[in-house]
Amino acid sequence: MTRFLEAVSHLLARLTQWLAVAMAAVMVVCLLLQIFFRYALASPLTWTEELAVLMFAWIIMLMGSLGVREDFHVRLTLLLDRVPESPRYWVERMTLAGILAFGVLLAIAGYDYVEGTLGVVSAAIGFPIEALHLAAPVCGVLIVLHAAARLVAGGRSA
Amino acid sequence: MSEAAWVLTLGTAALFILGVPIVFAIGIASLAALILADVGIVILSQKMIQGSTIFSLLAVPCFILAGDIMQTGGLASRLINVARVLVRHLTGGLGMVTVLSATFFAALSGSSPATTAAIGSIMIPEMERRGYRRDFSTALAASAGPLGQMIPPSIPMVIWGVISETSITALFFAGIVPGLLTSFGLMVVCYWVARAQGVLGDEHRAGGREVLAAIADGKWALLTPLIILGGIYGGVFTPTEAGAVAVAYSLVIGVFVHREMKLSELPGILLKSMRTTAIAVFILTTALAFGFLIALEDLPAQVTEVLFAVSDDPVVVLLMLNLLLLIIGAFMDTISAMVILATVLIAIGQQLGLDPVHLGAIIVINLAIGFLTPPFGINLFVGAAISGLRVEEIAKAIWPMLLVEILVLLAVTYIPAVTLTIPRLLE
Repeated sequence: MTRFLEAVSHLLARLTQWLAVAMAAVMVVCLLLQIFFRYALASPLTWTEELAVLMFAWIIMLMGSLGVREDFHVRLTLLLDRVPESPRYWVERMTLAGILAFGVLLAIAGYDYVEGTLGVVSAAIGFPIEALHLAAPVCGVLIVLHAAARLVAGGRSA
Repeated sequence: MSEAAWVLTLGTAALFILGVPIVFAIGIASLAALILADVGIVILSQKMIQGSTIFSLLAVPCFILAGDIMQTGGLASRLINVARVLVRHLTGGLGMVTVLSATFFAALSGSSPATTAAIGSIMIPEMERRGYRRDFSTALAASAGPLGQMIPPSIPMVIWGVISETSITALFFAGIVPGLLTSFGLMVVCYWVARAQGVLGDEHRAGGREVLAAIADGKWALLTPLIILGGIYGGVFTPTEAGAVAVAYSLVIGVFVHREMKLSELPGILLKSMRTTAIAVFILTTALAFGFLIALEDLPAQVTEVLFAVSDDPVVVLLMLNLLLLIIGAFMDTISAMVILATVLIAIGQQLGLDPVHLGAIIVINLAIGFLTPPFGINLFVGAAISGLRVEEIAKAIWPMLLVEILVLLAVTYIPAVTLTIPRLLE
């Protein structure tokens, strides 16, 4: 189980990183195209801003979940650094359990939001709004998996 | 106060102190409050999506990315060379080179730790070789970092502009004078410390030809702020688009002109920048739900009431505000502190009748000082990583620089003209 969860977490982390790099590139290119078409060609594009924002939202939600696996979210360890090994270990595990619970609730809340906005399309491109709103429940599920993998492995970060 | 309000305040603080990452501390507290106040947890996902689809925020990944590319692409080292030929012969000259090149770099980068890392990694060893004490050299590089978030472009200014719905352009220009004042003050410290430590400027003054050669070599780096600020000021592009232009520009210069960066390095740099971006913006998205609840519980009005009950003299209130922010800034990074306190800070600003640009400048500059104060001064840790000193050793040497930055903060707080003159001229 521990190994399986770690393998899943590892695979999803790689996928997340790969997607974030590709999406970041698309985002910057969209912004540049927007300026180029407005000034050089005097025919502003209508879809660039929306696509750039869509990429941005997914980058934030995907990389936000990766922060659970890699433990890069800002935290204060001032107190933790001063407590002995064994209580520290338990506080770390409680923290991971809290993050896991947050992930579960975000997944549920995100699913409700997706369901509540079904049928809506984006303003400029006209893509189904689920393409954007799914970012929240996906983020929730990824947080759950990464937190669970660390929890069963004893609280270590990747 | 209601149960939900206690969870939002004490609950968040308790989780934070226990070492729960800030984003999850406010996320968990917000979820609990949503359940207690019977509002429905769907608000959380709605606010998180809302927060990550604000177009102005795209300036954050762009300026972070541009800064990371510039560090790899040889722009930082050229700026140092320009600074060197200008001030190296003065007493304390090498320290001044550190400050001046950080000032230049700040006009390309919007981040405080990035500025310390880019300049410090080159200048700390060099200052030490020339007889400066290592603790002073490291403390100087750490305290030059906040210039990165005062002088435009500035990532915290973008975030404050978004959450307080203030013009990002006006906030950018408001940071110029405080940044230059800080830079000047730090150079005065260099002069004073160099005299006290007996490290005099033993290098000869650079001749006209040498100055021209350094400027010619660094011209592409020196042009960057003109393009970014000129483009924004001239209305050619928005701050977000300026960020994208800065990315493209620094990439072309680094890869094709300086030839110090390979295109194959780009995916790695993109990933690093998106990690930095996510750290800031992910907090902001959950903080929107948090701020919504704080407002729902009417906490900003209650805090303002308490504060003004102590005194209704604006001078005293501003002093209390600054002290509070300095204490919080010592434990929390700029962006977390800003987004968590936003609703309360805006309410205090309105009560005082402060110009929103002035309020934004006070907050960003105040929290910038938090980068230098233990226990959570990130620049102290960056400096420690570069120099091998312990954080405590650097913190002991930093007080003259800290004093300079607190004086600038007082000037910014009590003399609105310091921040508002340039934005008003450009309106």
